[in-house]
Amino acid sequence: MVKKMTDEKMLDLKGLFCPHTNLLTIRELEKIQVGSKLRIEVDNADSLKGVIQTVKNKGHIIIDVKEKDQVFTIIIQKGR
Amino acid sequence: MEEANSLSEILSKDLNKLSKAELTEMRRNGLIQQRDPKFFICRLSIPAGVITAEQLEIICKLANEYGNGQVHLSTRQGIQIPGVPYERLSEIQEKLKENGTPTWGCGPTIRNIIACPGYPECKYANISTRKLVYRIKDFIDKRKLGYNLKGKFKIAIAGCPNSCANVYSNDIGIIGVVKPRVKEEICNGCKVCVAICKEKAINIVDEKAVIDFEKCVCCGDCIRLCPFDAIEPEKEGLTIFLGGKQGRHPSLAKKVMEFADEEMVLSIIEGAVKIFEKEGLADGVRKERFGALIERLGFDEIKSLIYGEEDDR
Ligand code: SF4
Ligand code: SF4
Ligand code: SF4
Repeated sequence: MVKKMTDEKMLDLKGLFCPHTNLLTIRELEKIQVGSKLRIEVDNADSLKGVIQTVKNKGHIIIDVKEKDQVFTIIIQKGR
Repeated sequence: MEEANSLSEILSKDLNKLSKAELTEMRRNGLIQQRDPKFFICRLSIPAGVITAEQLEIICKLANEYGNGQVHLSTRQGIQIPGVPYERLSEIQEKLKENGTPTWGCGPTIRNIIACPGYPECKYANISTRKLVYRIKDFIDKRKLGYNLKGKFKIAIAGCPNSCANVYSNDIGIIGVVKPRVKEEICNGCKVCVAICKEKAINIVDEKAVIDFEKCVCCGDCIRLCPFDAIEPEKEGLTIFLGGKQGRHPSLAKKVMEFADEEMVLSIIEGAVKIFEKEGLADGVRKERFGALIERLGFDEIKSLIYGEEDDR
């Protein structure tokens, strides 16, 4: 199957907290193909910490992080 | 072994004929006389508070067979079996030894060494607390350290500065730490570390993370959480604290060394215990704790005494 590298889903997690943010991120990553990307937005350190820990531990790749006005936009590539 | 002999000798005597010294020897061996003097609590040595489920099952069986059917979980991660009649002590003691959970550790002894779960269970851990506990226990047992103490001596180990094992209220506290270093060539200034550092020790300067070591407690969170692995361990080690206690007059332990290795920890434990044996005061009623001894002689004096002991080895 041909992977579409341009696929990029968006998940707005602003206003939500860990572990809710974790679960939604993982659920979304399960839906997409290996190599595809997911863009998420979180607005608190607790969620940020949880999401990064979980994503790293599950073998996905964080390819970009940007912060603006306390909102972190994280682009994750599904690793496996 | 001499101690074992003397304990079995004690236990073969008539309860009413036991001397104060013999009762103390029993306490040291974890056999503690209850309010009703015919009964004893058996305190088990459970380093780091970890045993197998099978061992626990045997302890439960023995508690039913020899005790009053209860087990007491002590504040030092130990297990105690209350309500054992004096005549049955030698038997239960043998069975507990066979189980790998011997009775030990009340009175003037080095008490059960406690630890937080540490690595690998806890995601914040910088060290395997359990391994270090077993190493210290082995060291203490082989050298028979603490056999001439006048008061109790407590050791606690935590895997990171969160200190879930109360290291600050033990005579010796040990914390696993890691000093972070930013790899400037990789850091892209994304600010994740700034947001997650609980000490607010990280700032972004010219698009790069800069750590303020006045604030950093060397927990290692930023190393684990940088999305781009741009922070690496510069050095790892153990922070050692001395002289903490609870009881009637609680006080917190003071830092004596940073980034020590395990050898250094063993040396300091040996030094501190020997100083405490030599200099500690006890008059039968009052027993000075190590923290009080430090206050009496001064922290610097204690430090030089400990390092002196170390040279003598
Ligand atoms: S002290 Fe640190 S390593 Fe130990 S249990 Fe607490 S958080 Fe985990
Ligand atoms: S999280 Fe990593 S990449 Fe981001 S600013 Fe901190 S050190 Fe740099
Ligand atoms: S090691 Fe811990 S305290 Fe030090 S900068 Fe990193 S996160 Fe902050």
